[in-house]
Amino acid sequence: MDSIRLTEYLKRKLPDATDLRVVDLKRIPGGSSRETYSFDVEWTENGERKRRPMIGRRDPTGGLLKSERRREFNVVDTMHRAGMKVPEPLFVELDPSVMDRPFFIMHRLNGRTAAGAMAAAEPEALRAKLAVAFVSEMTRLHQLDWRSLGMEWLGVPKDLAEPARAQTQHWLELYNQDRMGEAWPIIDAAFAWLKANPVMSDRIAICHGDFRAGNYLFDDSGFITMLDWEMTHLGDPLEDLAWSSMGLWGKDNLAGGLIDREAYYKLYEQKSGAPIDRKRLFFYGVLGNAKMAVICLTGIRDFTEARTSDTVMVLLLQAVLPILLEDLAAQLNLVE
Amino acid sequence: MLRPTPKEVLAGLQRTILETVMPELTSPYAISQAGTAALVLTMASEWVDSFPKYHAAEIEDLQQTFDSLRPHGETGIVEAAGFREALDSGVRASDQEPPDYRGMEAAMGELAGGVATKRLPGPVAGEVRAYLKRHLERIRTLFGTTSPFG
Repeated sequence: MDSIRLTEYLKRKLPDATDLRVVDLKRIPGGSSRETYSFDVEWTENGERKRRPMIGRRDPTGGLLKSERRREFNVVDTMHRAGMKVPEPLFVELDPSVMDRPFFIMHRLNGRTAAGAMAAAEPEALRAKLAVAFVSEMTRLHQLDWRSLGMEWLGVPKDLAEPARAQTQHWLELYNQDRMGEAWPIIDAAFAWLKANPVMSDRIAICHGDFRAGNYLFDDSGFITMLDWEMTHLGDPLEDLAWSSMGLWGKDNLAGGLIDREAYYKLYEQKSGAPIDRKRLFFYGVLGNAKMAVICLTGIRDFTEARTSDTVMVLLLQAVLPILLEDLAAQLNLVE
Repeated sequence: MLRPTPKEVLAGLQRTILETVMPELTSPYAISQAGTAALVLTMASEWVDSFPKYHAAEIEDLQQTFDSLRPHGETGIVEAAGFREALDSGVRASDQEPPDYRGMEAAMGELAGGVATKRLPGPVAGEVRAYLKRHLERIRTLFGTTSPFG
């Protein structure tokens, strides 16, 4: 994103603003599936000088996920209106002539992100507080009435068997697309198991799709906002619970680096008011590891084929994929 | 011996990033990318030697595993379980000169699926499990087990 084009764009979007300036525009790390830019906008309106912190998220040339900007913007917009803790969405632009690739702009909130060891290094009292807020936000999402929010456009599963089947098929197709002809016996085994052991949901809910440590902002006073809604879909709520408590995101036995995994599940049961079906949770735990392995392969392919220069993709091969393979092998009893 | 060696070139590039490029950078994203690139170069320097060894060990292990599985193709229990074709294709890939690495891995993937779904007969499943264990040990040796997420 460049300052001149961004300024011109915002002048069109804020016609009542005069003397509009974009200040401190810089690309920031994080969010490997998008280019993320931080900036402030200053303008004068009704004789008053105003300043607002903003975040711009632009489509990358390559990366971990392929998703539609309009879809993510609309989800965040609906979540904002539903009272979920999300950054206020401001503008979405799909015309690539404006800034080379589609992008959207939202209000910037201050806070930090942390996953695994970094989260586990936070004070225990803060971790406990974050766990409660994080799980509360997750269950609140799962309890939203997606019909009354008009979210059928996300794609309504035709029956309660479809969420497991559709997610398995979706990630299997991406696996076959992005594996660059390589065979990964453990990932092959995982998809064979997922296809042979489908589970039936008890209801259809809004699933964030990437509800995990590292995807929310917090500060010393607690949870601030949930980020990265690009994989949101209608599905089985236990998909989010399993994903958020995967071994990859949490050191030792700490779910998301926050609290003991079993305590975390009890918390979800308390907040949701229903017992967790452990068979479904296990299924989505296997799916989560397989899904993350596929996301790694997508990033590795885009790096290998020069669609992205993000060096983090190499770390996926070195530091993330091996852990997922180990976890899948243990889950499926593939090693003696 | 031609100098600099590939490892020495990579080490030199890393010094360029750390000593020349990074001190001049102001963008948080560029600093982060440069730091990661320097780290990756350290790993890549190791991989110059370790990747070929890993591949050689994988190929040898897959060949030996399919050799030991070969007699099971005659027993009928594998066929009954629906894995005769996977076993045969793995053996054929193993018999090629040079061995078809991807073909052996693909066949092993199908057999591993049979282990995961408990459809593969015990003796064959045992051989596949033993291979997968060695496969994971080699990946652990190659990459370590450090997670950026802890």
